[in-house]
Amino acid sequence: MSQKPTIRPFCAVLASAAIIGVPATATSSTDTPELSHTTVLSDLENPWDMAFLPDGTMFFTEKCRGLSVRLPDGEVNNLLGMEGTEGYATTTDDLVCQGQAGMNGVAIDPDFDENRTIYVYSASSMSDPRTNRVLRLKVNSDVSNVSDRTDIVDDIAYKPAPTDHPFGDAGAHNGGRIRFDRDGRFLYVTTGDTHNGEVPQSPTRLGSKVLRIDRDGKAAEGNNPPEGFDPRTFTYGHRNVQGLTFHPKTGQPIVTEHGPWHSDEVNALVNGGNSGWDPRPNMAGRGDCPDDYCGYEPNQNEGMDPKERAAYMPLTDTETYPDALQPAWKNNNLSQGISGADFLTGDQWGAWNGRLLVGFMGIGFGGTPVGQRISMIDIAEDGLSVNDVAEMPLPMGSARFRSIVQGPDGDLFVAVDEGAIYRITPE
Amino acid sequence: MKRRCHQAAPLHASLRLSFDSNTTYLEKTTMKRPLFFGITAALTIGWASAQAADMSAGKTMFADACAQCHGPTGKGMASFPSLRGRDTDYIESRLKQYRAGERVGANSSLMIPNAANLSDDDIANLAAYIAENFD
Repeated sequence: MSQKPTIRPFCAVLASAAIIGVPATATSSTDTPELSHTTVLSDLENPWDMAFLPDGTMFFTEKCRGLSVRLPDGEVNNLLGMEGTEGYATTTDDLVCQGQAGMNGVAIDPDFDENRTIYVYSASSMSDPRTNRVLRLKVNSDVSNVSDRTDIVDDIAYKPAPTDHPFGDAGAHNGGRIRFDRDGRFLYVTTGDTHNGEVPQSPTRLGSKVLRIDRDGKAAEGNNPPEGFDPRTFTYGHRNVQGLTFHPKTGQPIVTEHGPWHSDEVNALVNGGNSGWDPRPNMAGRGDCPDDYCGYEPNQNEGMDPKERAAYMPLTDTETYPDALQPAWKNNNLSQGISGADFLTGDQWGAWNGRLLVGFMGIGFGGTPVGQRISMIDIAEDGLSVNDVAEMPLPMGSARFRSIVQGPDGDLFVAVDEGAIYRITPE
Repeated sequence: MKRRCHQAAPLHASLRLSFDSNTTYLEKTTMKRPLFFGITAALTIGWASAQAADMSAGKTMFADACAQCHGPTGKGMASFPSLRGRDTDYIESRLKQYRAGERVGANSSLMIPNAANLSDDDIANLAAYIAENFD
């Protein structure tokens, strides 16, 4: 790791002060807030995730650049840069970016005041073939650099080469969200199927899993996967999970899962559960498939009725796996790029207090509307159904909503692929 | 220098053909009234160029159909590629390949249906807008 003193380019600091306050009218209910927004940061490169300290300090990742932090006064320090980047306090050439992969999730240790520890999920070339890793890092006293890198997980699946599939480049279906549970006890890590038919139901390959680990990367006490599974497995049989949060009352982990040209899902996880994704060839009535992955069949390149598609290649295959986790919501059988998720809490949000927010990046394929939006979902407390779904009236318009995080003062922060992080305030 | 509109090419070609012949009506007419023809041709070519390089139409189409993946400034997002620095030839060529159902790259599944119903004018407008604005 080379050391380079730096702060972020001045323009980003200026941008952090920019205010674009455009109120948006909420729904007709009198108990719903009006929203305004400010642009916290702009001119970013694919911002992917954020994590906050109680004082508003915001760590954030950019997929092909690395880890940075915005301090409460607006100053931005670039902490950990990836291969080919400049201007970071530390650069590490094994951290690589390709396709959907790169530096993804970031989480702050619940005991940060004592241990100054944070975690990031990143693709790495340190292994051959490449893997995704969870890095544990120590933040220095003035929040200008990181050190003491320890890769607490170094064997998460990564797609090493292109295949004949939609979005078929290397690095696809890479998962990447990491969050501590509400007790601050264990770290959850979401992974993707890497366009590999074998990975989702594999007991040992760390893709298509939600991992639950301790701060050293060891399996969390109480994990209950089937016999023979990697003990770090909390749930398995996922396709590509990019949203992860925890129910504010029950603490149950809730994830969002990208659908295969149909049926984005919201799933409430149960320890040891199978989410029911199995894209292997010659399974469940399907034959051979391109590069042994049936995930977009029966017709991966042309549109067709999403319900017909779902019947042929379900995201949750309850016929093969009758005990599979049941989705709480399936986005009306459409796939529109479901991504970040968080619960909205606090009285200032009025009727929306307690709603699950889910961001959509938008995909316009086969007649499906692009669908860029943030949905507000009233999810049942048992996580098995939804009572209501509404669209958040966004003051800044639509975008590719990658990450959604409620900040320490209750405002909402959203990162969009267009290169900005917005702050949304209820009034 | 930006490439001129592609619709002008057939007009040039037809003119060249007519001047190569000794028997066409066009030649006889133009030989008798060369100045009139020259003005007419210039106006026609200019009109065709303006039509092809309809930046406003290209901008609207880009905002409606392209910006959601390539970004409002064409710099690319996520796994969708940047369009910056691409000239009109490149954009037109790619869009016509996608329109013909040809697979070019990992996002062909998205691009082929998006390009399927584009007219030559649509493609020219998009290419001109992208090449002009996303250097």
